[in-house]
Amino acid sequence: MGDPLGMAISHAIASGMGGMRAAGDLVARMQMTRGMKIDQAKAYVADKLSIAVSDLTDPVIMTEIRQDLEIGSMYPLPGRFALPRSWVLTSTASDG
Amino acid sequence: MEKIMTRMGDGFPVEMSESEIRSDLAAGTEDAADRGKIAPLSKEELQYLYDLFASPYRFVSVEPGNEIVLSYDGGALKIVRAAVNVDRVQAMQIHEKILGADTIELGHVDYSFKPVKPIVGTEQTALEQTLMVTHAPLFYGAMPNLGLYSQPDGPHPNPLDLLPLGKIDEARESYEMSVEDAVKDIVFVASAMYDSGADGINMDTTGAAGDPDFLAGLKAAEILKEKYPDICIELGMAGEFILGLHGELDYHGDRLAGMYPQDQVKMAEKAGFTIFGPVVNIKTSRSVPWNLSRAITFTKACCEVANIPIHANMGMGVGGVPMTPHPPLDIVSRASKAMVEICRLDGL
Repeated sequence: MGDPLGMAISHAIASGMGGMRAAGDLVARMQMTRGMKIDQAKAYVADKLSIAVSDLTDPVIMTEIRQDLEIGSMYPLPGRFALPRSWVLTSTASDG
Repeated sequence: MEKIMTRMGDGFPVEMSESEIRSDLAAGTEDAADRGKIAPLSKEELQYLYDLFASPYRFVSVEPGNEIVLSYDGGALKIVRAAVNVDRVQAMQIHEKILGADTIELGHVDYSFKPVKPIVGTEQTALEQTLMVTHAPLFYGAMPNLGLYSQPDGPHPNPLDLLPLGKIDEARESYEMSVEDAVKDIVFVASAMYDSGADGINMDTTGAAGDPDFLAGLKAAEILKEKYPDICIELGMAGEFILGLHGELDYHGDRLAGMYPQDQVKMAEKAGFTIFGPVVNIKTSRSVPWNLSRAITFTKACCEVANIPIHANMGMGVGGVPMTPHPPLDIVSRASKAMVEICRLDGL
């Protein structure tokens, strides 16, 4: 029990890293896969992304990084991952 | 003297004087220190807590740089329980895209390993569908829930019927058989969900049925870790104290009954758990300053000895959060900030 505004949202705003708005999911993965404590996990992710630890919770900086590296974004990126046009033309030609 | 608005452990507002708050903060930490045989909070930490409660702000937060990651128990179910007409896959998407979740967690509405066993294929399908539309690490969560293994819900004689009759040996034997059955169910379900792609297993509310319940969780984790060396398993507890419902169960020589969080985490490490979630229960008849001071004292002692990440449980009725379905933002934010910053937590 516990409603989402009182529990999940309150903790996310008071203490959370912001999930996919920032780098919360990436830091969580390092705890889960390597058993890293929070400071070590943050330092590891920041190093891999070549940014400062303080940038990990910044949604503006992290949105750009996530889009550049194609590691998941909050909003769809229409057309970004469409098949190359040459693939489609080749397929059409062979069908004909 | 100016009064400070805070709350009782059941969430009701209460006005307290400065001396009353300071007195409750001191009494809360002393209670934990006495019960757990651990150090009380320092003068500086108590002053930090007083300043936090005296703060006029409706909502407070950790300082930049102190943010932690969040994991959930029954996360998706809380949206479904509120009668919002979405299924669990959509609830996961809501957690990831709208609630700022660092991890997400799928669970069955019964939230116990035993009832999931016969429908595990359906759960695997839901998990695989969730993985197709989310990015965040995905836990599958459930409870050992040893109560489901005794009559009338399970096969074994009910120990709580046997104990009043003086049949102590029979009651213990029933618990021991329940442990073995629970371990099989936990390993079966967790293996299926991990094989389907779960990033982690959340064994939640462990110890709810006392030391046999805790033992089942430890034994299952040991088997899972041997089977899948890279598996992530989070252990969420049910309470601050392991009740001795059996009384003589041990894990590799350590008696489980009577353990507090700083001892429980060492068992978790030994069993192979990746993350430990200590619980400190709320006393609804005491103030939040008393409860939060007490909860932080226990949790800090646990963090100081832990070698694995600690995600303290701070849901309704635990970790200094009042026992009410609608936890007030003023108290949840204060509890969240204080627990993270004093204990140096890795997550919640």
